[in-house]
Amino acid sequence: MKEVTKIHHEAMKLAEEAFLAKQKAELGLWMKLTREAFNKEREAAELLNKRHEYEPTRSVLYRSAASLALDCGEIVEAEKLISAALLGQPPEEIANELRDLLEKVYFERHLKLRGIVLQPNEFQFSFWGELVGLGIAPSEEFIGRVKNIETLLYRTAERKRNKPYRDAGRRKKEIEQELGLYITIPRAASFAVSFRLGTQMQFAGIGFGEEVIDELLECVDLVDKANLEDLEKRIKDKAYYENFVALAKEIAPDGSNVKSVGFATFRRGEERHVVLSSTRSKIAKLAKEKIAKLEVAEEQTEVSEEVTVRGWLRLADSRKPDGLIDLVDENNIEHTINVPKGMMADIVRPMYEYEVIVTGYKKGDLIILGDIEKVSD
Amino acid sequence: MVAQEKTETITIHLNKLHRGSPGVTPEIGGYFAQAAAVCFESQNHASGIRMTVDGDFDSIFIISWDNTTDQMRRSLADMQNATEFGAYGIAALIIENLTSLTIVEKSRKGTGFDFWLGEKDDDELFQGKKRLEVSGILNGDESSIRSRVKTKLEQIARSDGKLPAYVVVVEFSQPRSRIVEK
Repeated sequence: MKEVTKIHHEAMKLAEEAFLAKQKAELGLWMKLTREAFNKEREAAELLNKRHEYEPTRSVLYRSAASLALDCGEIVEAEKLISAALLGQPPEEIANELRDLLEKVYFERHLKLRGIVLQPNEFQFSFWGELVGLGIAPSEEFIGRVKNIETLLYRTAERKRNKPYRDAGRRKKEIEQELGLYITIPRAASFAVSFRLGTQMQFAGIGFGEEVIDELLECVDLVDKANLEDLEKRIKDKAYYENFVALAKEIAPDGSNVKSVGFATFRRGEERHVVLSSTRSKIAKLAKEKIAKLEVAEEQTEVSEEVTVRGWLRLADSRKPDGLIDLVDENNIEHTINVPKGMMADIVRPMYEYEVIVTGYKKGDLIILGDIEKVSD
Repeated sequence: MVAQEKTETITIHLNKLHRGSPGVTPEIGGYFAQAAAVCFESQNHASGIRMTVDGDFDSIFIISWDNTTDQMRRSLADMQNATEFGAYGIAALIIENLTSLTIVEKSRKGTGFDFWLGEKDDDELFQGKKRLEVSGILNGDESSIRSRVKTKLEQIARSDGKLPAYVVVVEFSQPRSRIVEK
């Protein structure tokens, strides 16, 4: 055991040095040290390969080595190390973390560009899950997400151009022309398409398409990390913020049919991956908590308990500053829902005439919308 | 029982992190100390700030640090990272002062580290150790702290696992920390 401890400590010392190199943006050194740390940590873990009684040490070392392998881009190695750990007797917590890591490994494999060359104004969108096969996916899972990504890209472009939030009417032609969104044919990865923004070559500095893509992915990353505080600081306009969270929720996985969605770009000679693995229900919960908090702050009163109503969306009225929708439930009772600015055009209106479930907070006769979802058939 | 309840005011200097611990080298400890100082100063606090600690403990900490430099602030310009690393530094000092535990081991987890607490003279690797789960908030209120504690507890309690842990949430704007023992 002393030998295992010694090698593990050497690995962690290298991993710490790698961490510090990364903070100083010395990426070459970071990769070199990470690889050395990976080799050492794998050696330490493998010394305990047959010692199943040494838990949690055995599984923690394997998990640690697998994390380092992923950093080195050694996806197959990471998969083998996680499998070896799970073959032992890991405590439930570590076993769950190993399974999470394995999902990441699988998704990293799907995100790999596999010879596809992306320009700075392009990104690849991939998703996988129980209903997604290699190169085949349910049309509604695909089309809905592509449509929402398109909307998010244009909304991000309008925000970056300091345009006021547009809750009605078509987007301006100039933005459409400047961004010029294109999409490739889908490919197997497990299911992926590329988006291209703009057709003209950019010669100097960062092009607008690249800027919009990077902004979009930074914000998606914050949603995935449940860091809505920083997202709010980044998207200061409340309508744009609400719109972003609501659309990101629609793109997010449901947890079974689709388990992960991810984006890949190519920057400074390296692939960059942003994975959105937070589920729709988790994002909806976070968003609702935030809305309740805002209501308390604005009204200086406690909001009521959360309410949920199910019914048919009969009216989507955006003429008032905050749109109102009417929901008719199965007992023919009408409920009036107040829709925050930013959610009417892209989220609520497409659900007109559908059966939906609304959750929110009661305020007088109104319900303040926290989340809305279409009832699946 | 490792935890000892203390209610007195405890004075600490972030420089202590520069000395490291069995599981944290002085280099990383120093980096965490700089991150914590950058976070406090970004919230307009000066050295000698008072931080309340509640949850499973009830204490007041007076925290001092050496002024940050431009270079430190530049290298920690990403406040999301600074908040995370700074919170680790504060959590390590709080745990060390309120319990007989210190960070004795670490492993890689995700893109960061997973820290493990134990007695200083314990040379076993991870057996019998407590995990340290830390979350930092640069500028949040009571509900943000409650929500972070809840999220962390949900993360570690989603299975019937029995590994013990301390969850520490550190907030820098109205400095306070909450510690919950699992």
